Amino acid sequence: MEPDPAAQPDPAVQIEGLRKVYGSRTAVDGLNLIVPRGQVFGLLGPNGAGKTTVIKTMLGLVRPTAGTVQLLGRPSTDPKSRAQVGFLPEQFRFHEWLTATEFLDFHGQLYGMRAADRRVRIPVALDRVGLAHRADSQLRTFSKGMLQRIGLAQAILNAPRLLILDEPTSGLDPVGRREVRDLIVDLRAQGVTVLLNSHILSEIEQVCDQVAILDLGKLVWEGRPDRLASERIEVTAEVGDVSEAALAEARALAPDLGFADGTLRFTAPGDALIADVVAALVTHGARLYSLQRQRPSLEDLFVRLVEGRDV
Amino acid sequence: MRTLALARFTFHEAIRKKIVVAAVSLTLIFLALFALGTHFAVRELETSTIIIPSVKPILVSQLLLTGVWITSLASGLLAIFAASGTISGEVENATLHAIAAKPLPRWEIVVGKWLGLATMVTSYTIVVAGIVIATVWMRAGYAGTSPHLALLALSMQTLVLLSLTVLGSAWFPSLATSIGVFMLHAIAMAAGIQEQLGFVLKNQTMQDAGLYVSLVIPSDAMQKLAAAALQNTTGATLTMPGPFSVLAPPSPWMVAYAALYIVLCMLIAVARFDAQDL
Repeated sequence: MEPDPAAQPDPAVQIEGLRKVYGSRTAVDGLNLIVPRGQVFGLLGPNGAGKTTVIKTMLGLVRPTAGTVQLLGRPSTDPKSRAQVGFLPEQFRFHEWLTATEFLDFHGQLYGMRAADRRVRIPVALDRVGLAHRADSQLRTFSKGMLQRIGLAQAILNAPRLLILDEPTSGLDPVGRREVRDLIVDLRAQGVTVLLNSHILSEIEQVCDQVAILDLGKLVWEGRPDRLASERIEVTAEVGDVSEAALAEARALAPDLGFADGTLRFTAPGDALIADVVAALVTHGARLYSLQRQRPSLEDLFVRLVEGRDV
Repeated sequence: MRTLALARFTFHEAIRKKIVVAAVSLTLIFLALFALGTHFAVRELETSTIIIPSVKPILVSQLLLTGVWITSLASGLLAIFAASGTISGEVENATLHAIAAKPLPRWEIVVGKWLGLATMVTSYTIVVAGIVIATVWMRAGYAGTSPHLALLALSMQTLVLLSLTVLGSAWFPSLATSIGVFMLHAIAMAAGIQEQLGFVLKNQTMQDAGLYVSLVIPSDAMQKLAAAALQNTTGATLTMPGPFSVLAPPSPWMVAYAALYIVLCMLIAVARFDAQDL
C-alpha cells in the first residue's frame, strides 16, 4: 500500500549542519542532507569521506560535535528514533554460538518486539533472505555470504520504515547481490526508505533514486544518478549531405557542435537533445549513417567529482 | 524487558567462554580435594590425643576459612576475567554496533551486561562457597556464626570486582582492565593483611592505611567480613590466629559502602559508555 505523504510529513532522514571532529581530523564538515521517505538513497564517497561516520551519527553510535540528525521526525539522540529503523553494519560481527533463529530472536527482543510478533516475523525474515532451511543451524556453520544474509534478516526483522545498509553486498556472490537488489526494490515498493552505502557504483546506479556524494566530510554532489550520468553524454555521428542550414539549426540546439570530415561531435545533457539535433539535421536533408553515444560511467564521473573536477 | 534480554544473552554467552568452562572444571577438582581433605582432617582431629580439645574447633574453623578464601579468590578472578572485555572487547570487534543501534538507551546495554555477568559470578560464588561451608558442616558440624552473612559478603566481593571491571572495560582494552583490577585487588589484600597486623601491633597508621585502601576498593574488606562470620569466636582465636582469621573485622556498614561502590562504578561506566563513540 502506498504511504500517505500527508500523514508522513517528515523526511526519513534530516541532517542539519552535522560536524564531527576526531582530535585534529574533521570527519564530517557541516553536512546538510535530506533523505525523502520512500526512496532508495545512495551514499557515495571515497574511503575516509565520512560516510560511515554519517551513518553512525544517524544511529546514535557516534555523538556529533555539532549539528542535528532527525530520523523519521525524531532527533537521533532519542533511542526511540530507531524503533522503526533497521541497520546492517559494514563489519557485522556475529555471536556465532547462536542458531539463526536464536540470533534473530535476540535482536527482536532488542527491537522491543513481543514474543508473538517475533514468532511471526522471524520465519518471514529468514525466508526473505533465503535462509529458511538453516533456521536451526548455528551461525558458526554459515558461509560469509550466509552471514551477510542473516545480518540483513536482523535489519528487516522489525519491518522498518527506514533501512540503513552499509555495504550490504560485500561478501555476496553475483546471485546474492542480485537478491539483495531485488530485496531493496521490493522494500521500496512497500514504502520503506533505504539508505544504501556501497562502493559498488553499478549497484547504486541500478537501485538508487537519489545519490549524495561525500568527499572529505562534505557534500559535493546530490541528485538522481541518471542525471549525474546524463550530464556528460558525448555524441559522435557520421553524416552526409549536411547543409549550412542544418548545421546552423543543430548548433542552435547544441552550441559545442563541431563538424569535420563527415563527422559531427557534440555533447548533450540528455537523450532528448540528441533526438532534437538528429531531427534538425534530417529535416534539412542530411543523412545519418551512424550515431554513438558515449556515456561516461557513474564511476568515471564519481572519480572526476572527488578529484575536484566539475561534472 | 530489553535489559533482561541482554542479561540472559550475556549470561549464556559468559558460560560458554573457555575461561569459565576451565574455571568450573578446576573448581570441581578443588571441591573434591577440599571434601577429601576435610574428611581426613576431621577424622584425625576426632581421634587425635595430641591436640588439646579446645584447639580442635579452631582448626576446623581454619579449615573452613581456607576453603572460603580460595573460593573468594577464584570467584574474584572469574569476575575480573569474564568481564574485562565486556564493553571494550565488543566495541573492538564490532559486535556491539548492531546492538547499540537498536532502540534502547545505552545504559540498558551496560546494566544488561552487568546483570548477566553478575548472575553468573554470583551463582558461582554462592554455589561454591555454599558447598565448602556445607562440606565442613556435614563432616564437623561447624558452619561459623553466620554463614548467610558470609555468603552475602562473598557475593558482594565478587560484585565489587565485577563492577570495577565493567567500569574499567568502558575505558580500557580487556588485558589492561583485567591486569589493573587484579592489581588493585592484590593491593587490597595486602592492605588487609597490614590492617590485621596493625591491630596486633596496636599501630593505628597501619590500621588506617588498610581502611583507606578498603574505601578505594572494598573487595578484601568483604572477604574479611565473610571470614569473620565463619571463624570460631572462642578466645583461642584471638591468641592463635590462623592465616585467614580476622582479628579486626570490618564494620557491617562496609556492606552498605560496597553496595554504594557498586552503584557508583555502574553510574560512571554508564556515563562513560554513553558519551563514547562506537
